[in-house]
Amino acid sequence: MLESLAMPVEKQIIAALLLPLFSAVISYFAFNSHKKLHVLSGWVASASVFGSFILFLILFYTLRLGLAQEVNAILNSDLGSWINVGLVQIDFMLRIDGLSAVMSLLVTGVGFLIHVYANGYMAKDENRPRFFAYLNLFIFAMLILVLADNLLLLFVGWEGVGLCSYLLIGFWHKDMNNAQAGQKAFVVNRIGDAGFIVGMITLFLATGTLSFSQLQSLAVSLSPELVALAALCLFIGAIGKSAQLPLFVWLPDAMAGPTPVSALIHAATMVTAGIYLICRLSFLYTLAPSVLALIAIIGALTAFFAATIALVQNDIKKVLAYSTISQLGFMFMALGAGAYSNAIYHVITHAFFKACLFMCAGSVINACHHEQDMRHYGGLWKKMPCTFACYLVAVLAIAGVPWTSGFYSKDALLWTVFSEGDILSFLHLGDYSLAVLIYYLGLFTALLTAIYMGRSLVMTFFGQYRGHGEVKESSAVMVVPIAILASLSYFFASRYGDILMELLYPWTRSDMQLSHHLLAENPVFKEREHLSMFVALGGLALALTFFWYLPKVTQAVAKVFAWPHKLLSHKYYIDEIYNWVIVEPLRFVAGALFKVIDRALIEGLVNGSGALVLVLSRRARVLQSSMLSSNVLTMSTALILFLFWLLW
Amino acid sequence: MNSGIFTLLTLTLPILAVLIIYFIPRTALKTLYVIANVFFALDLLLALLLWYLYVPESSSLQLRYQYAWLPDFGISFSLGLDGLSLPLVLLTSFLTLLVGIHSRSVSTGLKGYLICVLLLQAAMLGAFLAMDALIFYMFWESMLVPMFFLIGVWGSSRRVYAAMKFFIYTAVGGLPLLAGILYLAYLCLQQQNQVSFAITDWYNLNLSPNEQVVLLAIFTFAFAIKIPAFPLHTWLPDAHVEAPAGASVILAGVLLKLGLYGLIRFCLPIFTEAFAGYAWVLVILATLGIVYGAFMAWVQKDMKKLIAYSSVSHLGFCLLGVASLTTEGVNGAILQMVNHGITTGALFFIVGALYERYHTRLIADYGGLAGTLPRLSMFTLIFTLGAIGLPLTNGFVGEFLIIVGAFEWQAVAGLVSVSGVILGAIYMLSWYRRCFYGTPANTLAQKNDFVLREYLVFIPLAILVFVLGVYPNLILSRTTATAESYLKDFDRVLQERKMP
Repeated sequence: MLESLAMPVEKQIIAALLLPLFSAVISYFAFNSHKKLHVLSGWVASASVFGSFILFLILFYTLRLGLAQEVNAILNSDLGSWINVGLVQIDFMLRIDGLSAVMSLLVTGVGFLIHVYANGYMAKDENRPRFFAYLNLFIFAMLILVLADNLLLLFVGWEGVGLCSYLLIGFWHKDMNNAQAGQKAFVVNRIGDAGFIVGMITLFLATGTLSFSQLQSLAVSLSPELVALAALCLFIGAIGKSAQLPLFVWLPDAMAGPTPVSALIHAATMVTAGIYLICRLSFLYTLAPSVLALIAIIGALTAFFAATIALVQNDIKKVLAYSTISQLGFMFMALGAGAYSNAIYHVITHAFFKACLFMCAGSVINACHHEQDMRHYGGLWKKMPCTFACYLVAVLAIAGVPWTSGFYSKDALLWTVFSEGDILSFLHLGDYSLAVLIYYLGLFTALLTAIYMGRSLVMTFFGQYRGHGEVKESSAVMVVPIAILASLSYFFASRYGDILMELLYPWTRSDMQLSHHLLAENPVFKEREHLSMFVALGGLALALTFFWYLPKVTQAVAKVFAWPHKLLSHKYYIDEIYNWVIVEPLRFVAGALFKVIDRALIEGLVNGSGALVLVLSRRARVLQSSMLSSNVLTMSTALILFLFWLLW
Repeated sequence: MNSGIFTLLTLTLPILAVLIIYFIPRTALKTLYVIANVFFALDLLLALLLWYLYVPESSSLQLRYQYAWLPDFGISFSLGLDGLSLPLVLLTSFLTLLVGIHSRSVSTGLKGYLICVLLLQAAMLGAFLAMDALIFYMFWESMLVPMFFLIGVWGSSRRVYAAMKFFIYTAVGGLPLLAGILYLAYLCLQQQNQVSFAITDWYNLNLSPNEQVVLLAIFTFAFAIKIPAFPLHTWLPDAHVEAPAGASVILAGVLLKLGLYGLIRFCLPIFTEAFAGYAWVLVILATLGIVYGAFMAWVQKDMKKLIAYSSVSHLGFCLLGVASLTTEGVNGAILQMVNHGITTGALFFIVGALYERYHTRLIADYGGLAGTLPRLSMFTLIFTLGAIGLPLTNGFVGEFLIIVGAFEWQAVAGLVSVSGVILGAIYMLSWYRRCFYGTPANTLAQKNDFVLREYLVFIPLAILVFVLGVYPNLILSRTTATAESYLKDFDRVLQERKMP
């Protein structure tokens, strides 16, 4: 048995969790002190995440051994009490079950590759130890998030990753725009977090616990309204963290951070925390079908909305950012259909191909002297063949071209939305049930995805080079991790999809959500699958035609539709609207309150009464004079008043 | 041996130090500094000893010291500790030690400054330890004098105005408080046939509803000024802006807590029915304070004012916890009082450190400090995160408990207080961004990042931010028994009085 080979499971979990934290502390304090140690920080950081990954692999096998005997096997580790007051009894309790095992492997695995890549990307940066300290801290926080056994501890990780995101977006803080973007991310996330807190407390006051297993057993006994309320509030938290409508505005700005950060935090891991949260609480959401419907609608609308914006962006990272928002929307669609395991499936494959895309973008940005505008790229496939090959594979995967990972996960996802009509069928629009409408919107968005990704591929790698300066392929430190991720984006689902779905079985609602291999017999499924293939290939073909062969036609079309084009390239003016409808009025109110209430009203009263006392005391001075008459007057007045008081 | 002697010693040590320092010439700066700090450190050790001797499980008063001072008038010099005062006593001696270490930066009149701080420390400890209302009142009022001088002598340009305002504001609350205290002693004479100022004796008084409401109003008025609760807060920004860094730390860190302390010590158990009936007023004032303070902090141009208004918001949270009358709320409030003392105290030290270097408090004059003063920026970030209640820093658990309590009281109160969580992030991070990020302002010359004295001040504070965030039970295990017994008595009295 593996258990006897290594440390006891409990300690192993703790070690796997704390390794990145230790490394972060060492990086920040020790390696920061001397320039010569800077280079160490990156490698120590990568090694710590790798060590953590290995530990999680061992734990994963232990868990699988357990799962073979019992379906609901869980590995636990209790680090003692955190809060202990009245009803509030919260422990530092960690758990590894199928879901958290998958997520922790993803976080440390992809995290490790991105750490290695960052060694190359940040090679010339003066503040490397600080960078790697934050990056390691992020891994630590993300691990708390996925390993937490109660909602409050999950919230610790939730806010922790938010902090790291804030620090890393604003990593190059000399530019105020970067700092501003970091702050925006934190504040917008806090709006979601407020919802999280309300939902958490609603659940807590109804059940007296925040532990997942206890919540699970108590949830059924709660009133449906209360469950729906709690589910809705927690979903607001997920909207913030996973950048859905209407709180998505922070994610495009978050691209101000270094590209490895965008890959790790804003594509592969942190932004999927909202999906993880809803999966973790799937027992709750299953009891709240109306909230599920809302989740599906918001997911579908976000997916579509973000994809349209991605069509016209010229900044390569912005394209990928909107693409991430759109893909997260897909995952929420699946959650809304109750297909929790499918959402996680797509989280995994998305992590591979989107991290790969971001890292390729980073490789290109680095090679092109920090140019991010795709109009200054072009023809890079000859100069950066490895990066090009990886980008191509990842584009095929995200577009959903057959037999890539993205194809399997996205197809399974759309299929469940289509087939799991029951959960969304209570809402109808005309003759169509909500599920079918959402399915077609999803399919159309998949088409848009293939188009905008094809466009980015063409603009970056095809045609003539339009930039200045020499361009060289990136170093092996950067290319190897990219290549690993590219190959994972290609074969992961076909190789490991079944194991994954097996692990996530408790989060599967029905047989409809089984992996492709098992569904292949179903004729309806076949039909839908062909449709998906057609959409993916058709989208890519359209992109190639319009952006490579017929760019002039495309430009002419853009000119004809100048107004919609402008609307899209300004992201529907959402930022401006928020600014003028919410931020500026609030600031005005705050300023006005300060001037009117604080300074004029309250201070006026205070200083006024001070002045009044001064005036009165000048008058009252007469009473204390040495003149006999006035003394007699005072005394007699007082006596009379006293008598009145006694008699009355 | 009666361990109450340690309680007395903790209180008298600063006074002893004043007597010694009095005889040291004002020019012997180093001697003054060292001796004062030795005493500050000894006092902290004594406070730690009290912490160690205190039995967490018991809710009764412990480590009592009693001396029948004026027995004919029922006044006794009686001291004691429970879960409410213990954390605050420790906070007081901890923060004054840091202020003592920091006092090296005081340019003129170090002797007078140290004497004021020592007297202030004695007065604050006395107010927390006193179990006799008149003694409490004596210490309560005597805090004003050294603070008045600290602001009026060592403050900045408008210091005299600020000192007067501070003095008058608090004295206006204080005099009715004295009348209320005398009236309660008089009631004691009527009902128990002997004058008594012992607070615990008053818990059994039988007050008519009208008496309760009037006295509650009088007491709460005095305490609300100190807290400071909206709309009685306007003295605070002025006092902070003009006060020297050390005085600001004490003012925000300890002095403000006395308002809430009094509220729990006096109003909750003595005016039970009135408190239960009018808790909603406090809840409204508290939630208004949370939101209003946050909005005010957002638009401030002077960073001391910003932190002062953030105190209004944070203490609104504490007041909300107390007024919610729930175990979670009250415990959270006590915990948050300590946390606020640490983070806000630290932030005033930070502002002091910045002011020492650049002689301006205007946010607009700063920028890009993260590049020029990386260590100071790191510490500031830690305290900022503590202030906005990031989990695993000290601010989170208290805030969470208070919000739970508020939701138990009524969902609306909870919802409003949650908005404070968002607003807190906005104003604190905006401040941090404007001062520490961006390109360094040209006017800011390169300065020393840190000196030893600053390490000594900031490292313990930063450690506490994390320790209390990860292990809040350190405080909570001391407060729960007391808070629960207060609330149990509260409910019992309400039940009993309802029966007939």
